Amino acid sequence: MNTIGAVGKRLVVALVVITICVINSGCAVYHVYGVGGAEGREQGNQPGTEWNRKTLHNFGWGAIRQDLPAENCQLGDEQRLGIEEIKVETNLGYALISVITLGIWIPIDMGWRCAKPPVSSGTL
Amino acid sequence: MIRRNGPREWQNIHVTEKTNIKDLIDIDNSVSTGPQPKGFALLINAAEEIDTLVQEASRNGTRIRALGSSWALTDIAITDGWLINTKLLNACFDISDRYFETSYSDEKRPYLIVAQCGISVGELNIHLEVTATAGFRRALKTAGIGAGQTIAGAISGNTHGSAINFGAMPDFVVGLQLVTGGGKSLWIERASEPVLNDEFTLKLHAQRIRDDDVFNAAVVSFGAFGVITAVAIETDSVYHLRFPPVNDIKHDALKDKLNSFKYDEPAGLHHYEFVFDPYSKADIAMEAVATKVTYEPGHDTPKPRWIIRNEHGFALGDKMPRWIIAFPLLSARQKTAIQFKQYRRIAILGGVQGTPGQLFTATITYLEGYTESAIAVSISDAARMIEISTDVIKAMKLPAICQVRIVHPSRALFGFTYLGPKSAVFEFGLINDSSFEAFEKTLAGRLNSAGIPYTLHWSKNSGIDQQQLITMYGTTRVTTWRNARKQVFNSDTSLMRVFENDHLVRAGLA
Repeated sequence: MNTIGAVGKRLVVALVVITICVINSGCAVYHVYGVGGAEGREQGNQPGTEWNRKTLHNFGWGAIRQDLPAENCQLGDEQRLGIEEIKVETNLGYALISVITLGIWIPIDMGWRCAKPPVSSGTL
Repeated sequence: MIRRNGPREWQNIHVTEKTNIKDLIDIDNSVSTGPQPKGFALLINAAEEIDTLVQEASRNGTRIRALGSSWALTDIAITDGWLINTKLLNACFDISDRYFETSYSDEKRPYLIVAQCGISVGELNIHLEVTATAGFRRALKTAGIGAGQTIAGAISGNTHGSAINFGAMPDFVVGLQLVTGGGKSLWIERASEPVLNDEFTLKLHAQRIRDDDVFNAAVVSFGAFGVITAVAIETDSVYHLRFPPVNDIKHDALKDKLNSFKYDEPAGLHHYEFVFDPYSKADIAMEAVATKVTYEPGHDTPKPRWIIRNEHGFALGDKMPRWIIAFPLLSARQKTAIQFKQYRRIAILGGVQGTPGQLFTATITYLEGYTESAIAVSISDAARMIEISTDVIKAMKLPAICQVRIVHPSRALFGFTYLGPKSAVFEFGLINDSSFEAFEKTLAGRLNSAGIPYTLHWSKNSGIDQQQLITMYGTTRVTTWRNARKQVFNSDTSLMRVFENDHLVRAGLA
């Protein structure tokens, strides 16, 4: 009985984990962001824009890639801003596509936010 | 300059709110040709561009909301029309002597700055404490634990912090530049505390309103009065906050302390908070206290709080906190105990000393599906609030710790921390599902039955309707706020409609 109980408990845990993965549209998220700041203080991420997202595709085991030129990371005077943070997301559907096509087609979701311009200061 | 990004689905940082917007509009301080604007020209340029957008929206029947860092957990700052991203408007200026009213104290002048709406609290801290453009270091008088909000967002949503003898963030503001679509921006000050003179408003191309009621209404108006494009802020000389190690205190001792709180003990008391686990068998709460002490150069920056990744970069996934809280194999008591332990490990300040900008730094806080309910009561009712909220949490079997911060009453009409002699803000971390609203309604009902006045945090609640608004603030405050709103729009209903959203309509403020 104890063995059956233990197996049953593991089954429940496994089902919960699988349910979580299936329900979540973005099953795995990688997050890149700026850290640090003046005098060793932690400024964390300080984005200047909202999230932009795009699905990118890679074909033929890397033979053809889809780039993502971030056109919105510049000010009106064409001064370029850096990218402050990036999210890379995949999910069960994308993983299945990659497995079923043996890696010939690998889709992925990219998100990015631009950095802020330096603080402009002076005396009025 | 304006960049229109087009229609899209938009969501706030914690993904508690999603909406489809007709346009996401970035605005920055640059111009496409000629010399880049500086000083007054920069402030005028931003205001004029936004004013043009408002007029266009009014003609089209489109609604607008100014967007800061989208930290609000409620729908306070969202719209189905145009969201104007203000984060790129991050300039900050000192003020020459010539622009001050003669009545404004000479000693205070070097500490007054005019900050553009989109500068973040973190950027402002660096500007004041490190860059030190005045030639000496200054600091914000108060702030919340986070540093990612824009200054206008933090002020107009009444971010409160825990300055027991000062107030909330709106309370250090003494002037507002407001764009309403009327063709000219407004510069609003209290009549009782004039700060900047005629020459300043002339140079800003602004129309001045000096009126205590209008100022006290506009300073916490969550985007309903137009777009706040700049704020005049009174800062302090830089100071240190000294947090001794976190103190464990029995619930009974804590309640006794709250019932006869000594606001000047220990000397220089500046920050007071406590965190309790409603299920705690030991009845032990954590207490974080800080005194304001003289700035001492050479102190290392303390280890930042709210960093949830380990040294290898591993952290819980965005959606995991929700799933952990919903996990069926642990009881609410066990989950709450985990939260309490983790809060002690990564969140509460203890055994540190630093400037506000070194201590209050949280920015990475993506916890999807997680939300908070924050309710303020008078400190006189705080002990009873501990008991009532504990009862409700246990009865509903909710896994939730509670963080409480004590704040001096705000002068803002809709400052949710207006209750005296001090406001005690109770914050409950919850899953963003139907239990969130049920909890808040049950707790509000119990407070009403016990005759305990309360207010809900504008950015952390499950919805405020007209009746609840009047219960919280009274008819006089609501009427004064509505009249002030009419005054800044010169009763132009088409412009007022531009700044309505579902939140405003639901609260009966449209």
